Amino acid sequence: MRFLSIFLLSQLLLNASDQILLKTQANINQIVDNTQVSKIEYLSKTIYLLHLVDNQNITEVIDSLQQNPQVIYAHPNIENKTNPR
Amino acid sequence: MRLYYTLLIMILAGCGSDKSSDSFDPATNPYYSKAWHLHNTKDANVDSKAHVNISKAWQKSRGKGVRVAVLDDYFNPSHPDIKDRVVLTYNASDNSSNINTLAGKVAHGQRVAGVLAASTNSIGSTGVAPEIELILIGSAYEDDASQIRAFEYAKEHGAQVVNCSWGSYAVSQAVVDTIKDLYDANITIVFASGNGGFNLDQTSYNDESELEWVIGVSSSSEFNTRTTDADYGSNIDILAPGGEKLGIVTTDNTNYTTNFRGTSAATPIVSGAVAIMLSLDPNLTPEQIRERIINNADKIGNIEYIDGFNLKYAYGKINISKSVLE
Repeated sequence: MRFLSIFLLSQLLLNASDQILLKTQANINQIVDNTQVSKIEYLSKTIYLLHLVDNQNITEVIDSLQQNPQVIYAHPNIENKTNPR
Repeated sequence: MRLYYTLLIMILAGCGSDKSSDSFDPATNPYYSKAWHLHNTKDANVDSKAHVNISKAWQKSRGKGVRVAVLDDYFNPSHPDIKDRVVLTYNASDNSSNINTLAGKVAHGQRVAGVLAASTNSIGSTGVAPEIELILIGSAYEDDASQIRAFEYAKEHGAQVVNCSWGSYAVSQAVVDTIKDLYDANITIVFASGNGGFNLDQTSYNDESELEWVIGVSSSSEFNTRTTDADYGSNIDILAPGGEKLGIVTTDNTNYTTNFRGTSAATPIVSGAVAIMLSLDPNLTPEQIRERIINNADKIGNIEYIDGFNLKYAYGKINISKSVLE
């Protein structure tokens, strides 16, 4: 399974009602292409995890998301990187 | 009548305390005799001042009621020295409550939890803050998403302190944003610096422990010097005992170990101190807590501190009683 995490435009989050609105699936659907994304997981008030459908080019999806003015950045969900100390 | 007044005075005296039990005696726990990080054990291999000076702080509080989240790998929440402290468990990898996936593995998380909060119950070891409420959050933290889920769970379930005895040397922006979000919510986050002996100021490192919104912890030894393989840098705040050759006594999967060492062991000592401080003053902000800890640190090592700071020794070793009683 491949994931992307996206970070939404911060100005929209300054208003509490917008925060609630942005948690809705419908609002996220305005940003993402649902032919590319099989599931949208809410992680925090500004971060969402996108589960890509099979055979999607992750670079193309990132480029597409970054064209949207509501997205500050999009990047792959980095794997296997922390260690106990 | 005299008896009546005596009882009244005893009741009124109790109302002004933090309700910590007067019968508290860590020495009833058999492994306390090996807890060189907590008191002078008079062990010939340990400097008499290697401990964190906690006894006077314990007379005021043992962290009662403060909710601390431990983000780590595996736990056994049924361990007799942990079970009375645990209020919630969460697996950030699969969204379940099962954090006991220990088969064949070393329970790093269980060891961290024991240093922090092992109960004072006449068995085993004693934690730094043995009366706190624990949220145990397990995961391999194999990706950004599991880390963010863990931090969010801690925040949403009332954690006032978050202990992270792990790190990546390459924290992502999404995780940084989440840590900042918890800091803004008045949650104190404590991170281990690592055990590679690295100078984290080098540009190749971008570690969680260096972030301005966390307390970064390096390690001191049983000789009351810095641990030679502990990571250091200009953004690390404080040292706490993690041991050089001699480790910290704590809970293990089902039993105990006397050799849990490194910055992973040092970090829950600081988190426990934070919990004690918050139990006495819940309004302290993360920055106020950090300042009290670094301003009251012991300047160990017979080395020069410039403006209170040394690159390898940070602001010195934590002195818990001085930090708590300031």
